[in-house]
Amino acid sequence: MLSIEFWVNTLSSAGYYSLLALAIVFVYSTNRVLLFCVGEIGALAAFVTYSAHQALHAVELPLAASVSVLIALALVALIGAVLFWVIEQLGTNGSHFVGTIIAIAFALTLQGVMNTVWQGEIYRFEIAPVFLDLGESRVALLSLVVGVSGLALAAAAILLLNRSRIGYEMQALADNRVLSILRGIPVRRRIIAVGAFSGILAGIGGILGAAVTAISLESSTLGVNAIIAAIIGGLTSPAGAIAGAVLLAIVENLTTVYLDSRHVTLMPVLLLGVFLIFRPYGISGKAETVQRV
Amino acid sequence: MTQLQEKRITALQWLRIALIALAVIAPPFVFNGFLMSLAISGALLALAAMPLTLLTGTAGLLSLGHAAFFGIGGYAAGLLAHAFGIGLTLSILVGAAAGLLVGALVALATLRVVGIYLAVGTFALQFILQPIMQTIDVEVTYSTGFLLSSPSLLGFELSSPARWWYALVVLGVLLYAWLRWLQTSHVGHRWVVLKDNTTAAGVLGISLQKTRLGVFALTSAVTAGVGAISAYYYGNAQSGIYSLHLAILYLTIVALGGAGSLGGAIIAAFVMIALPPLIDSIVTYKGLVDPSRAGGIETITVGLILMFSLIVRNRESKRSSKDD
Repeated sequence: MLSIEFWVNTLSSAGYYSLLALAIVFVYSTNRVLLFCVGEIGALAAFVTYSAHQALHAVELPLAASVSVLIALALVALIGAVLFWVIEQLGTNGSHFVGTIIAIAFALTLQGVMNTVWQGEIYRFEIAPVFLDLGESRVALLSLVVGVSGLALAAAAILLLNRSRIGYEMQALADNRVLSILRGIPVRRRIIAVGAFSGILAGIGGILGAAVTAISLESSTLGVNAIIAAIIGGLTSPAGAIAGAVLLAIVENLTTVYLDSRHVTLMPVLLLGVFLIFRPYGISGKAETVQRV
Repeated sequence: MTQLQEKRITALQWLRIALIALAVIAPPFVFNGFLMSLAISGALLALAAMPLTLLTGTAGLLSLGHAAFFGIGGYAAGLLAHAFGIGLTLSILVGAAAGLLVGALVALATLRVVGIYLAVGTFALQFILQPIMQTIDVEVTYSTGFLLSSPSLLGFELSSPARWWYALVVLGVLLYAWLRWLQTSHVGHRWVVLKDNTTAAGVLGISLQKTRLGVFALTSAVTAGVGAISAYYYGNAQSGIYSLHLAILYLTIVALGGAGSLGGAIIAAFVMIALPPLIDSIVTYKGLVDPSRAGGIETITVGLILMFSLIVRNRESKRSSKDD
């Protein structure tokens, strides 16, 4: 019988993985680029939030925490927009392979920036621990908040995509670029907006993940799991990304409960291997995007 | 073309041959110990980068697991030496066979579908092999990694940096000639057709799955073989060496060298091996930057080089397709 703590921890992991996976799905749907730098964007957002908070707190600025989050999100939105601008520079001749390697190059550059500025230090957000007594179990309120807010924000992002004009235009762009241009959609602006939006999602995911774990260079490895979650869910399905994140969170937390903690990194990758062999198009099953040869 | 122009081209070719010969023969006579170790590391990097440029540039298959295959060779050499006392020559063959087998399995699992999935599969392999190697490190070598020494290749004792250098040059020339022959043969033409137009390849009766499986298994085998040699040169095979960072370094070399260019990959390998000490000396010059930050600046530089070389190469390829 699994405890309430297990489910709260799973909810917490699912919360931040959902946001990171959703960022990957938005980017892949728009230009078939796998966002390998999602973990680095998230980690950078966490580092910047921490440092900005330290600086603003020192000058006793009111709402220092909120302002530091906004500064971090503005920065990662800019990074997302620049990434998409660079990929756009490649033009139609640039394949998705080249775009994906550009994303890897971004990951490497951001790692270098974090390494240079914060030098491998590990920090924690100063959040007072509050616990809730639920029957015989004691759960951390922070984990609960991270899980619920992460999943709620992911659902809101999907709603925005499905209900707003900009969301429709982004979907149209993902489906057919040429027709979108003919329809008068400002393609380049929308694409850069997707980059900024994905950067913000990755940033929030990174900050939430760091809130329950730690702020470190290693936290960028959350991105690896987010990529796995996105592939498991189906790379072109936003709802699938959330389903993949939940499944991955369950597998990860089951591993910590029943197996050696050393296998925490291995089990998600093995799950990915199983999906690649038997269901490469993921849970959502949008097989039309995968050409069999 | 006039006779004078023909003569000038011939003279340029002779000059190039002379420069290459000088670059090959001179290092052991003019380099100090540090430069010699850099040159040998560059040669090893070039040997492993050549199969990746064939896979990615010529056949158009993106692999993020190059370090993993390199590690398979290293660990094969380590395990063989540890368990059976087997030396370098046989380790290269066994390492290559192990690389071939794992490469074929990864390809079979991922090549059913096109697109980004091979990259994802090789990415997964990297993360599957890493904990396995770590477990071997802990269980078999008490976390020291496999310590390898006294190598000889086909009876040729690799007992000094000069001997290592000349052995690697010979191997490099042979590998270059073989891969170049493959690129220009009908096999290589199949890879190019598959990369450029899968429909045309199907019409021509080229089996997509078999051809891709072949090139992936072949390049995996060569990479693993080089991994075995590299483990013997450094005297150690340890999980930390074969990281995703190494795989990205190889991708950077391939991007910098130009898609499918074996010669470009060789030059780029030496550029990338010279880069860290160069950056280190620049950023720490007169205390300009704290030495502890040099590693981060080096990573930023590699990332930017990868990015800009991709953009520049892409522009060049656009320009050449316009000219056509």
